[in-house]
Amino acid sequence: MSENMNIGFVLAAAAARIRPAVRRAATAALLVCFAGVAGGCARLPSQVVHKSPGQLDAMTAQAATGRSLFHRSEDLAAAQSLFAGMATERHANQPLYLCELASIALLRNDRAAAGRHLQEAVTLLDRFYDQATEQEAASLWGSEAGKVYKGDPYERATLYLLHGLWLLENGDVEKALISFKRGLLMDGDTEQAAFQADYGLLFFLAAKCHDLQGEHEQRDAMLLGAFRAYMSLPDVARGFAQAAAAEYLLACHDGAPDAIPPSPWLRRIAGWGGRGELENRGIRGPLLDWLERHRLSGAEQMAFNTLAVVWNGEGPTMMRGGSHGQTRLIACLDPPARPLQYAITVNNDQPEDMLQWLGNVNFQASTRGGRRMDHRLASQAMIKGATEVTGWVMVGAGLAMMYGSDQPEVQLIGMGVVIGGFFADVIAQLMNPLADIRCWQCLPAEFTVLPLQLPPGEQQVTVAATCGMTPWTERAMSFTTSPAAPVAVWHAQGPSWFGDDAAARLGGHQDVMMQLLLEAGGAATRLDPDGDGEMTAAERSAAEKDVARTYDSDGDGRLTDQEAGFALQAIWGGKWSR
Amino acid sequence: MVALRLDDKAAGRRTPVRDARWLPAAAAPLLLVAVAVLAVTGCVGAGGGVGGVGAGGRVMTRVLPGELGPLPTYPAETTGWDTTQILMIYPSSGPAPAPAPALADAGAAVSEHLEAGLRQRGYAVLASPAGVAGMVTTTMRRRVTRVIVPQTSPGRMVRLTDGRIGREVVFMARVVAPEQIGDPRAGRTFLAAAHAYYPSQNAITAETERQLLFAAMDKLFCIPAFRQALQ
Repeated sequence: MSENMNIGFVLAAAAARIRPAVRRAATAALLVCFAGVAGGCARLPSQVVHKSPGQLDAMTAQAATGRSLFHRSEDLAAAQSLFAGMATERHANQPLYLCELASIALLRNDRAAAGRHLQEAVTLLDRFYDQATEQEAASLWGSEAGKVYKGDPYERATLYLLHGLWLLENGDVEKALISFKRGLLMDGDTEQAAFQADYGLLFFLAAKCHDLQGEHEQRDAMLLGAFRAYMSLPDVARGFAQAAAAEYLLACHDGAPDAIPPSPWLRRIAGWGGRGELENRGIRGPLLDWLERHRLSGAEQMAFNTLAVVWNGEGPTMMRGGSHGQTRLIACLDPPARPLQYAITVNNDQPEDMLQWLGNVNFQASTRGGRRMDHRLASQAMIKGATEVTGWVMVGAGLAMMYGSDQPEVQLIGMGVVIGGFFADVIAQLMNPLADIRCWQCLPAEFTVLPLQLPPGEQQVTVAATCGMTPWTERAMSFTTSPAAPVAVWHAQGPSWFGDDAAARLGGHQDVMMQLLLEAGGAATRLDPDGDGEMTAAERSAAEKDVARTYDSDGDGRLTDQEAGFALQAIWGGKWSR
Repeated sequence: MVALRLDDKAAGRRTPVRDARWLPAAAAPLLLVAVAVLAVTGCVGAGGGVGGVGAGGRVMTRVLPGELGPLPTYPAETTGWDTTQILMIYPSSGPAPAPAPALADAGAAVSEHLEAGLRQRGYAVLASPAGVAGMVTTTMRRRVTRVIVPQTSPGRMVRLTDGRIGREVVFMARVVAPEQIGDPRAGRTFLAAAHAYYPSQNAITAETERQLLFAAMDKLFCIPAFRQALQ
């Protein structure tokens, strides 16, 4: 390019020389582009109160605070007031906040409010459809989070579960059954039917409804569904078979397996499926005969007037992934100890094992499969990416034409290409492929349940969580059973997974120091100097002092568990390799 | 960049000396870091030998010159086990953080071998809960009277004066009442060791390691105090 040439002068001169036909065509093209963008931004009249993306984002952030209040602080009153403030208007998120309020009301034992919120949430999810926000979400420009919340299959199934329980408690067995069955339909409503309905708790409760209606065949069919759903979950069949074998061994050890029945937990689960089903799960021989002899029949299974539903852990949450935030990721929080199991003691009776895995929300959320919306968002992200790249290329090419040529026409075209590139980039920025990460925050990781036959009145309950044989944490509560309800449903928050108390209890079970003694202490003669085969407390103390001299990083003369842990990591890091 | 710098130098617009100094000045710390990384990653493995427990993992245990020393001898195992006790072999990895890879591999084999040894002596031994859905029912919890928590160690490896490799494996087991299992210092701790000598490190295989560990475990049954702890 000539250095003394004024680019503005050249462009003006070139514009004057350009043919009118070309000018008209360029103007028309610009108008079409503007019309396209303006058309994309236009809205249909909507039935919901419009909220800007900023307002919706603020609500999502507040919902995250509500989640923390619900799960970590267990401040249900504060969580309720937070969600109530956001659920007053009929905006796109209102059904979600009604679900949150229903969760809180159930745990606060406010049955009337729970029923109201559940009913309204179900109505909105079932019947409310807003064409305008749906179209906007499906367009290139609209946000998915702007459409009316409908929930994932696991959320819809859980809503029907809780609504059904509420209906059952209020004596409307028929509607409760419909609700449970709709929940099953929702659970199986995954893309390309990739996952079957395996929400075992819905099968179990549907069986109870059939039993109350005197439909015994349907009841047994539903129990079979519960058995199959239960056994299809990872590791569950193995855990069941191991427990059955262990209890049979105990019965044999006592000399009379026929006279000694298995635990109620085993009898109940074995009763859901027939002999063939048990056989299919690897239960054979005398163990199978023993289980079959003692398993609870369908009628025995359903002889309960109270259902304890304990909400354990923190439910799934969602995050965005992908270069444009178009991918929706579901995050499930694992329990701090595994295998974690729960038992209930009512009125100082013997503790009874709760039924786990039937209502595992985390598992249900992780097997939801894809959504049609995922493909749409992926396409939108691809278009956005391609448009961005096109814009950058056009700007680059245009600049090269403007500064690389001495021809005024070429420079003018270059300037047009630059403007076009900027325009393309602006369009790309306006495209919104962000995935919707709204989710039901006040759900547990798992509902554990226990059917109970209790007299009416106040009941004192302790829910204990254990990891195998190791007691972990527990929570004492009380509730009142009503004689009027066909099934009194008691919702309660289980022992917290969080807090210093729970962490300290778990930390106490780790013998980090012993592991360090073995790793770093070395010789057997050093750990057991007198050679009697037992490491006494005095011998251990001496060995610990010896090791402390090497690994006491802060030089305070004692080795904490944390220092021992760091030392172990260092040893393993250096010693182990694949 | 190099070509550009040469052009600039030719045009006399930049001081070539400053650019020429840049590379050695920055390369010194880079070289130091590279050497340190190589030293840390390379030297740890370089001095090690093959050993340890389990089939999946390989233990890089440092081979030090020295002797293994004598092992205690126990009287021959006698009868008189109190088989009324109901035992459970508890996974040492239960609520604790994940163990080292080779130990994790060895865990199942250790439990099985110990369980078989105890059953052979007439005990009822319940399987420990395995997997995320492992279950210990309240009936099982009520009946178990003693819990055994095994712990294995990669032990040590020495090079003898005659060039042979001596290998020692230590097996440890804590016997505890079920209600005390949460306290790592509760109960009684027993340990047994086994030695073996090999002509070279290459002679130490996963199988020889396993056999050595089992030999150490079998010695546990000869410790009178262990039998007493199970009463």
